[in-house]
Amino acid sequence: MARIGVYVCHCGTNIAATVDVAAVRDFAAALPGVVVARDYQYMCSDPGQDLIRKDIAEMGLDRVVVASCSPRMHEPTFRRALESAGLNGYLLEMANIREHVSWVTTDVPAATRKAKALVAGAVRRVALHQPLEERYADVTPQALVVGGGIAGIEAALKIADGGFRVHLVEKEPSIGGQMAKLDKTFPTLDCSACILTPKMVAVAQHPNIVLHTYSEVERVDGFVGNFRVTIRHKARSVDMQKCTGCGTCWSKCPYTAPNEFDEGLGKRKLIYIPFPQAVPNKPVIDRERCVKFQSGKCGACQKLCPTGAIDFNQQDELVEENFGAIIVATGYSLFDPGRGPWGYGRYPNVLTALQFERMVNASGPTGGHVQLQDGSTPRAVAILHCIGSRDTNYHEYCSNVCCMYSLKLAHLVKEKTGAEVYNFYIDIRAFGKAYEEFYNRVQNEGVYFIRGKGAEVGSRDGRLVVRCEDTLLGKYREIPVDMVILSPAMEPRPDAARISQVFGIQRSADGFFLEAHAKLEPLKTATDGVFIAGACQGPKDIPYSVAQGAGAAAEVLRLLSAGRVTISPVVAQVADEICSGCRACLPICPYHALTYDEGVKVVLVNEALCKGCGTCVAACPSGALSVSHFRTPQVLAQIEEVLAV
Amino acid sequence: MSRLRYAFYPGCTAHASARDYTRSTYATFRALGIELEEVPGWSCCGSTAVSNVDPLLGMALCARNLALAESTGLDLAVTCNACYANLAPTLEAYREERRVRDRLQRVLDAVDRHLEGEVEVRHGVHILTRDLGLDRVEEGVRRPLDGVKAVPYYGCLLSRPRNPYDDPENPTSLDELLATLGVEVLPFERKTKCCGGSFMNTKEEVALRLTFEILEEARERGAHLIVCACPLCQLNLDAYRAKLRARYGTYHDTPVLYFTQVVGLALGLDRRDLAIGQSFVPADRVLGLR
Amino acid sequence: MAVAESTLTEREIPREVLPEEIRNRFFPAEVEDISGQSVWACMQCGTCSGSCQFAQEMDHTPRRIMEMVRTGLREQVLASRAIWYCASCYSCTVRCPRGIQVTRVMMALKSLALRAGHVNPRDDAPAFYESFLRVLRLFGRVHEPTLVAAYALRTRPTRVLGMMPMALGLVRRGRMAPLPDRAPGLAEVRRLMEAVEKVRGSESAGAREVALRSAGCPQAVRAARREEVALR
Repeated sequence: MARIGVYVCHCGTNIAATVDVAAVRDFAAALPGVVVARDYQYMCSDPGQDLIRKDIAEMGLDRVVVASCSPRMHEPTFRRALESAGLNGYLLEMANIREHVSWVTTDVPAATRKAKALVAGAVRRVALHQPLEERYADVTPQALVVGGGIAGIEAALKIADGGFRVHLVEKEPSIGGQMAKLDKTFPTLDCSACILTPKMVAVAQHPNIVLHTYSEVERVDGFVGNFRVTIRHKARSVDMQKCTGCGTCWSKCPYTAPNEFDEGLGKRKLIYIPFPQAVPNKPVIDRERCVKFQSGKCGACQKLCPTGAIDFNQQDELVEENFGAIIVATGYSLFDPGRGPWGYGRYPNVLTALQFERMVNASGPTGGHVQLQDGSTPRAVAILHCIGSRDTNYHEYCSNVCCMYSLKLAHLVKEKTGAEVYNFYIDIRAFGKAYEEFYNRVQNEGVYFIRGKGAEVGSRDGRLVVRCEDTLLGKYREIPVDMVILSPAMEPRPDAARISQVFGIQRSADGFFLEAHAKLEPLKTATDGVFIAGACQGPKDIPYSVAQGAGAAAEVLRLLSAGRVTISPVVAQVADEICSGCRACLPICPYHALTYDEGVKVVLVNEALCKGCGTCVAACPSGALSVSHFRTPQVLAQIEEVLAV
Repeated sequence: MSRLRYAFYPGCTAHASARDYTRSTYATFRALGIELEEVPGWSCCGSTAVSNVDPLLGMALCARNLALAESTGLDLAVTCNACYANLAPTLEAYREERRVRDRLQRVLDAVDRHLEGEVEVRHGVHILTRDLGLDRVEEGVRRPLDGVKAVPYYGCLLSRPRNPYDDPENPTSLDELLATLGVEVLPFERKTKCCGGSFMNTKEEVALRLTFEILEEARERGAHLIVCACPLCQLNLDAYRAKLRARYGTYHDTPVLYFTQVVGLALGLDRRDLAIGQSFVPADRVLGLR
Repeated sequence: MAVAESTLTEREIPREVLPEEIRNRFFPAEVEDISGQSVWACMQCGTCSGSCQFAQEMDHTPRRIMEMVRTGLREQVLASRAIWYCASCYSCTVRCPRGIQVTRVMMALKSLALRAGHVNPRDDAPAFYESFLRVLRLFGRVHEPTLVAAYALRTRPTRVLGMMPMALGLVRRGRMAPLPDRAPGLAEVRRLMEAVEKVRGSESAGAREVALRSAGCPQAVRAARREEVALR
């Protein structure tokens, strides 16, 4: 007969206010096999854990049930408590009477009844538990960072400085991301390129960093510690070894296209580097538009290249590498305001904030001159906050950064043009360090702050007009301006769905990548060894993205330094004598953990890959598969007991 | 090719101030192979007036008309924007809002009607552009309206509150339809602004301001023609020119035609069948019909 | 629905400290019940007013009306000119970032104002809408000349003179129906109207229930009951 101890947690008032814990304790004490039942304020506290240790030592317990929160929170805590008292950690079972009981009802009798049922189920189940041993696997001492924006750059540099090799994969021809497009940064007004480019150069020069630009991750296999990743190098049409970045090709290319880096405001050549400080400083040919590719004519770049680096026949290349851990930092896209009533796409002097960043930047299409389509200087400029964010028609969430960059843009317009500036806002959210002070400064520069969302942009007498309610005056207004700058929402990248599948990352309702825990595991994902950083997880400003990049690097360094990972003993097992070799389980295993052994004609489990999800168990027609710690008798006994109460 | 058939809800103006609309709708739709069968026993949908006095009655009137249409087994065609923006949102609320559905079912029970909510409501513009398709319209064009510059006036209630066929902020269906006929479609900022028609009797000064702004923009853009899809808009934009001149000192001679008349002309239909001469501001000159 | 009996004019929001006792905590739930829209979702951004072609004519902007509803300034809202300047063009509804169908809120407010007799006598719109309903009850469809005549008789009979040129113009162009077009199912339409009255009886009972439950505190419940008595 098992000797079971039951511990019912109050969790302060979280559980005790809704569940009659004393009644649950007394109920548990009477269950078969229960030697002791106690309740306590906080079981997870040191004194709480000591209660368990003491009872194990003094009363000879061989099984423990803790009725408290979700096992996702404290199962490791209590397993360690058991182990420190000399008991195998898997001889523990938790009854979740917080998330599954006290937090979902206010009905005390009903809650108490359900808590009793869950405890009874746990007691019956734990008696059937078997001790299990954790095992370990070696870690490939090399990391992958996906996305070469500021978060990815920061992560790669930190890991590389920590002494490990990092591969940084970037989809565009240059690293730098969205930050490279910005003119100044709030609230300090640092020049964005001045603080970013040193880091970009450091990436290029770091002996521990392997840079893959114009590349995408195609496939990820394996598991934490041992990922096998396929990277596609898209054909640049330029031999990276031969090219010196001299610039002859792009200065001589006779054709142009809208410049994506300048958000469509300026032009670039069809062989081009995205911006002057690009890393690597080597061009790429726009095959979609290049005349040579479309009609076979031209080829000027090839004729003029002094090192013979132009290669029109270059093919995409697939590279495979092994990694111990992965950081995904793929960033965000800007909401397209053309769908709304703000005149974008209809009036040439309606710009997005990023377009304006390019315009006001010295290396931008107007050389830093703030000007209208006709070349003149605006006398009045409107900045519309919350375009596509805080709006259930588009994105319900607040984009976090727009208030502050809108303030910065107001400052820049004032500084560069002296124009009247109107900021149309719903609320000003200036929550960061020195943000409120910056708001104060911009107000004192004489910017008009209109508390009311810019409802629509129209035109009158050759000027633009912003219609709104000045809610503080309670007055409808039509404010004439020459230029409108829209502050669009940050939204998930269009390929977020594909990325999430490749890396096994879940997404939240808003489409951004989902962290393992909103508060305590902001960088982890549902897949062990895959971390997220920066705006791919949600709208973020630069300091926050940098902090996350560094934080994710710390997670990776932790894994790589440890050199080995624990493998859970909760894995599938095959009863060889029952397995008929039908292989029904093979295609449905989401982790590719099953293989068929032609020699003995049975299925084998790769325990390093297996997550113990149980999908194969359900598919096995002969009942040969089972998952340790979730064996059929254990689960059925638990269900039976829960239903019996 | 299968012919399109709809139950047709003409609306109260059909036999009165919008006779020209009704006549041209039948002529043009027939020419395009679309059959319309008037909903038997239809009543007024309540317009916005009834909803202002009694929102539940407004919805109830719509629900009854929807039930009548549904029992024909056909989808419902509507050409008046006001009726459309009354019937379609009621149907949507009936489908999606439990409270609305419960109440309306009780009302319908009292008159022995039943609404399942399976009928679809379509505006005539969307029937031509989405159901029939622009290709089919184009095939029927005999006299392309090349050289005619027009602004499409959707009014407030063709694209709002919302429908699955067009963008409420920047609708394009009417633009596309006119372009198919060879018309040069001009950009029109006020294409979805309210003309104030419902206030012409009660707040004339407000209604005139909005009407003037629309006509003025059409003139500034050099439009030969304003094309609309609603009897209230047509009357409002067409019939008050003298009053507008008295008030603002500008006379606007831009005619206002229904989209059904313009499509019909391009199909080569007889102008009498399209009731072209029944508007206040004559359209003959710009259309070269004289 | 007694416009003629109304003696109320616009009600100002008191200038001094807002007297808390004038708030009607029953009001938001009442509006919610009729409109199907939650006024609590409003974040006061002013998109509705900024999108409104009539906001410039209103004494209170639509955004402000929403806040007044929430505060429970029932009399001030129902006596406002603003609600009668809503033309139901749905611009606000399409754009509201919180998904509130403001147009339906405005309709609910207009109907409540008529029911409570809180109608601004200087505004002709209520008379027009009620004339419309009367013609509808008569024929089941709307006959324009009858509507205009009924409306003119209720407001300013001389109005008819100003409408003559327009009427003649319509006659000349064959766009005037001299005789009303009677709906074939007129009897049914009238029965439908009666059924609506019945359902509404239980509807307002429902609203009362919601309000009483959501108000929570005894003073509020008492205030709501007082209001209810006053309403009868």
